[in-house]
Amino acid sequence: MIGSWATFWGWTLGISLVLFAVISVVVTIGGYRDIRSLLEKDEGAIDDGGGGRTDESADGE
Amino acid sequence: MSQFANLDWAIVILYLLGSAAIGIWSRRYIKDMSDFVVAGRSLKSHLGIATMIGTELGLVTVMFAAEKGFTGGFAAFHIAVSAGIVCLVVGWSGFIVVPLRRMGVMTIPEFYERRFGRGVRILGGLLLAFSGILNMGMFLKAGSIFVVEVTGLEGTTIKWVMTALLGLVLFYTILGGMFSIVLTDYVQFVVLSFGLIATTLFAINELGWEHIVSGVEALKGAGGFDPIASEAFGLDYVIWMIFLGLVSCAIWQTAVMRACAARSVEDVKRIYAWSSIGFLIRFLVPNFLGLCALVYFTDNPGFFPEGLEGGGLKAMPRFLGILLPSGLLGLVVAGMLAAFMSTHDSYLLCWSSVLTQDVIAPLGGDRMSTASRLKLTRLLIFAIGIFLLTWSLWYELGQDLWDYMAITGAIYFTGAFALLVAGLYWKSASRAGAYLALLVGTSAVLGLKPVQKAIKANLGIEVEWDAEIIGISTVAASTLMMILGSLLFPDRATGESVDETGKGEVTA
Repeated sequence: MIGSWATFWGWTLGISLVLFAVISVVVTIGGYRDIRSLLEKDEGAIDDGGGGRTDESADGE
Repeated sequence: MSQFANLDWAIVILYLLGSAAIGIWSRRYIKDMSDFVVAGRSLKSHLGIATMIGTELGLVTVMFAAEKGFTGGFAAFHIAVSAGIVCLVVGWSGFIVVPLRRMGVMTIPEFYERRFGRGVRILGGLLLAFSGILNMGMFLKAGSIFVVEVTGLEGTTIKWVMTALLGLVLFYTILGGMFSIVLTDYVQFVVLSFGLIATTLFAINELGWEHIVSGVEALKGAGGFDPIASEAFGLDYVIWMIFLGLVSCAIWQTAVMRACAARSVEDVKRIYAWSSIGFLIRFLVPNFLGLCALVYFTDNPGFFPEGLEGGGLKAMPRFLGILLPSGLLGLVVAGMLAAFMSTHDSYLLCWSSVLTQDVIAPLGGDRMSTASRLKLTRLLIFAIGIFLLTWSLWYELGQDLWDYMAITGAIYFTGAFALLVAGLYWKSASRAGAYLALLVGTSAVLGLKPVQKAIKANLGIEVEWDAEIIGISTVAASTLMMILGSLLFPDRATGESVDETGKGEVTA
């Protein structure tokens, strides 16, 4: 019984670590791009004296 | 004993100075309250995931989850699995978070007003802020224990270090608001995620998987693996953890703020689905490091004279200080301290903006200007910071850190659960039901050990209820009050509800 639990938790830990490593790489690269586009958009808004911001609707879609 | 050296100090100091610089630089992007609180609602998926995991994977989380691993062994993993699965289900279904995002609210109490009226918003905001600030009360203490144990610094120095850290957080949160938080969360996510993965692999390599399993088996038997059979947990605790999984991702304001800050509904769902791995890992890895510390200190009792029955919070950081080589240790500690600050900044911003937007501004008839609101929010951030410093020095914990946090949070979220679910999905939910549910939810305070001691001392009544029993009972009572209150005292204009599309129009 303990052996089954140990195997289950071992696989849970292993799979989670692999998934987390993949997500970390993807999010690190994608997040960097998101920050650049977020700041570029706001740089434009600052240059326009605040008028250049594109306001999203409440739905945002 | 600790491997923490000058190189590690240099890494930590450089990292912290970089964070402060980001705070100052972000100030130029703050133009209104929306920019300050939800970063202008412009977060895309990747950044949303990074900032959500960055906030929720805090030093305090790592500390209390490691304590659970130390006391419960592998059985503590059920907390992680519950959190991950529930967050994934919320991401797939959009339960609670999608209707909230569609309404375009900035805070949960703002939803209360649209659905139940201004009075409910003010009461809900007050309870939310009270519960949230109390919930933060032990953050500084947990952080100071971490730094003392991992670096080998002595106790008196550390108070000054933690005060300086809090000062740094206050400084860049007050200046930059959500923009600085998003940027620092991103950097913290990168450092901490890779640091935690490396640390886990290091621990397995040093101790050996078979030895870790046999060590837990020798100490705890089947209860070290099976959460239902565990003395530390049991079925009621597992049920409480499943509910807390829902609360952490869909009801707790700091997580919901990420949904409110997302660019679109699709982004909300994507952020939640992917963040489920983060919600899983934020418990799983610290649980594992905690149980590794348990096995290590069983083998080497001289390094842990406190004994295995006490000092659970100290075990994991002391183990890391011994295990990790200089350089990697500095990187992990810098990531952890960044996590400490990241959680603080998000929570400080969250509770101060709730007090401003949901309590003080509505009490004044919403006539406050944007400039006044920003000024007040910054003032409140400072005041909460001072409270935290005082509280963490004076309050005697008396129970596991995780149980303290669950109960202080429950003062708010037990009522909030009833209000959100009924308000979003039940047309007949009424204002009276909302007031009753919120007020009954405050009875969760009975789960705090010092409160139980005070009841015994003043009233002579022996109260020895476990936190999970109090928590589950309070959820049930709040939900019942919501239903009974709504049926017995319906709103005068019948049929008041959020419309089918969840866009927030109240129909009469």
